Amino acid sequence: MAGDGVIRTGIAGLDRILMGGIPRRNVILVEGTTGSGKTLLGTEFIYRGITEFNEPGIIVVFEVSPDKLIRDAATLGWDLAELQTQKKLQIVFTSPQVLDHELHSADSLLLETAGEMGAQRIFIDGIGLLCQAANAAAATPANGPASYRVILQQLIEGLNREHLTAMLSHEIGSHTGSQPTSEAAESLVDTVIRVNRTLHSRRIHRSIEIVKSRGQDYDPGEHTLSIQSGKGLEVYRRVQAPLPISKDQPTSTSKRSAIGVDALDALLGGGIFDGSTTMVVGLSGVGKTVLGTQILREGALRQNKRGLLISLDEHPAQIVRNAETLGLNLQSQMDEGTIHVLFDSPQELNIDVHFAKIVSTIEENDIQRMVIDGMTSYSTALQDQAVYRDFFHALVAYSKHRLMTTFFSYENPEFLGLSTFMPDFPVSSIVDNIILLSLVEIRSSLRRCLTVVKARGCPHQFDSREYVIGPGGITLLPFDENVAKALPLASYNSILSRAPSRMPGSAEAASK
Amino acid sequence: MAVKESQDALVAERLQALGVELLTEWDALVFLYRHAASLCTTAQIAQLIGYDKAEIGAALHKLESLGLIQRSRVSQGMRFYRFSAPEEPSRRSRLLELMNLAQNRAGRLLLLKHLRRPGLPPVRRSDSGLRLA
Repeated sequence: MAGDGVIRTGIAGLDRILMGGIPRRNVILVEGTTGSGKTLLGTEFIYRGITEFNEPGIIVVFEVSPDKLIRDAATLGWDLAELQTQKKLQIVFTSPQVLDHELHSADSLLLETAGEMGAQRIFIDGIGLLCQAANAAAATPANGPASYRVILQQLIEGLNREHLTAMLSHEIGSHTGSQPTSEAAESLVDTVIRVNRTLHSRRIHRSIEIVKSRGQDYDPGEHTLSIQSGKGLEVYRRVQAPLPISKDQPTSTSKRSAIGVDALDALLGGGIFDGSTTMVVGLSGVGKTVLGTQILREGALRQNKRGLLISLDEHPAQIVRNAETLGLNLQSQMDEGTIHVLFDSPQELNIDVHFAKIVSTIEENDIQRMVIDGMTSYSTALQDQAVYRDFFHALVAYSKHRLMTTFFSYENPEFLGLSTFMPDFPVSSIVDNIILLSLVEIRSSLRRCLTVVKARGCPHQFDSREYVIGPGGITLLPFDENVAKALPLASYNSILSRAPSRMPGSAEAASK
Repeated sequence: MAVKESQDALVAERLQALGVELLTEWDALVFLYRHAASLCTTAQIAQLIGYDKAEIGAALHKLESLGLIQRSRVSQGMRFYRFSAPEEPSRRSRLLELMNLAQNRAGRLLLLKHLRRPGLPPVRRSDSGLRLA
């Protein structure tokens, strides 16, 4: 949705969930509890209208002192006083009773002012207070809400007559009378935006929801609303909202690329398909991060594919240091911009904001290969399993949409032998490939073992192969090598179980 | 002592240059300075700053004649009242100085010394109970 028939709010991220903007001359209601950001949203609607779309505007306040509004806006870098001097903005302090009178008046001073300055937008802060005017006009207090509805209808009629796109704020939940007035307002206006401020585990979460909007489509559900210091509001699309993907959108290619570990690529039948998703499952310390580093370096150094490593566990400096101990130089690629590292603290992780960071990093840097290290940390940080699953599905969908090759690492807590790949939720049907990194106990020592469990569309081998981690990262040992005078893994049955058994005659064969 | 006297003289000079004499005029001016544009009746301004309607009516009339505020035509008993910064630079800077002075209690008390209520002589320092916006 775009064009002259649409008014863009200019608020970061909001127009995206509104599919471009709001139909011009829709009357917009912003409702929410105290401190949810209603006044800020309305003020930014006017400010962005003036500064980004050259649409003069009016702000009407009943309770907030205009000089405080100007002062607060200045902390976000908005110079409202200057806009008033330029006659692009007029902040009007008035009372609900006066506004009520104005709306009855054919020669309204407010609308005359709007006409003189060519205003196209108006924000009226606190229309719930019009109820005072309604109660004053009503014969009995019981008629209040009914009168309020009439006053609101007159207000909307007056605004439509002047071709203004109006945003009205209404506080809900703070007093007993707010519900009927809020319901009346919701039914009369064209667009309802609800903002909310809630406390989750001692932290504040702000959200925004488009409840209705006549004449347009929009992203439904609760999105994250954030106040950015020195900038203004930012809306983050809820991560689980499906991407608008057409039927013709390819989700995978027929081109295959090497992972970067020769023997593993051979096990996979010649690498994996570009645009595929791979889950690397294993216990802590088996080399999931090392494999991720190799995958990214292979992409950046040999295949001209820009990579992104996402971690909630390790700071980029630590990742670089650990890789260097194995002779894997990440810093050079990071300096060149061919590998990027995105680190977010798992504390107070807001998944909508985090997903938006991932998307912007990918799009700004044209990322083609991504490693998420690891999914377990999200499970811990998010607490809500439904949100965690939605995030995983969104990552897979976005990765497919961009035709990126993506690797997820998952730390399986089972020490020896696995009963499930991911205990959190079934994943095998979602990802294309699954690589298992296991520890196996042979004689009295633990050895590392790699198995390709699944490789969708690839003629892969099911052989379990021993590997070592050393200079250069993970190296798969050849079948016939006798490591540390031990028998090769091929000499055992049930290597992935908790009790591998030696095949009859294998010791004799190995000693020849 | 000398500093206080010079401040007294400065405030007196600035108020005189602006033409503001009464407490009601000053309080109405501060109200409109803070609110930039107000759509209301004289009675509402009087109620908000705690004065008699007739006193505020006279104060607004005086401020308009001094060029410190603008009043629109009357509609349904209401007007648009807008603060109007003096165009002459020295007058403008004097006004801003006084507005800054009025932001703290000491400054407000100093202003109070040089402003009087309608029909009364200038307020003495020992007087109390008068409010200043």
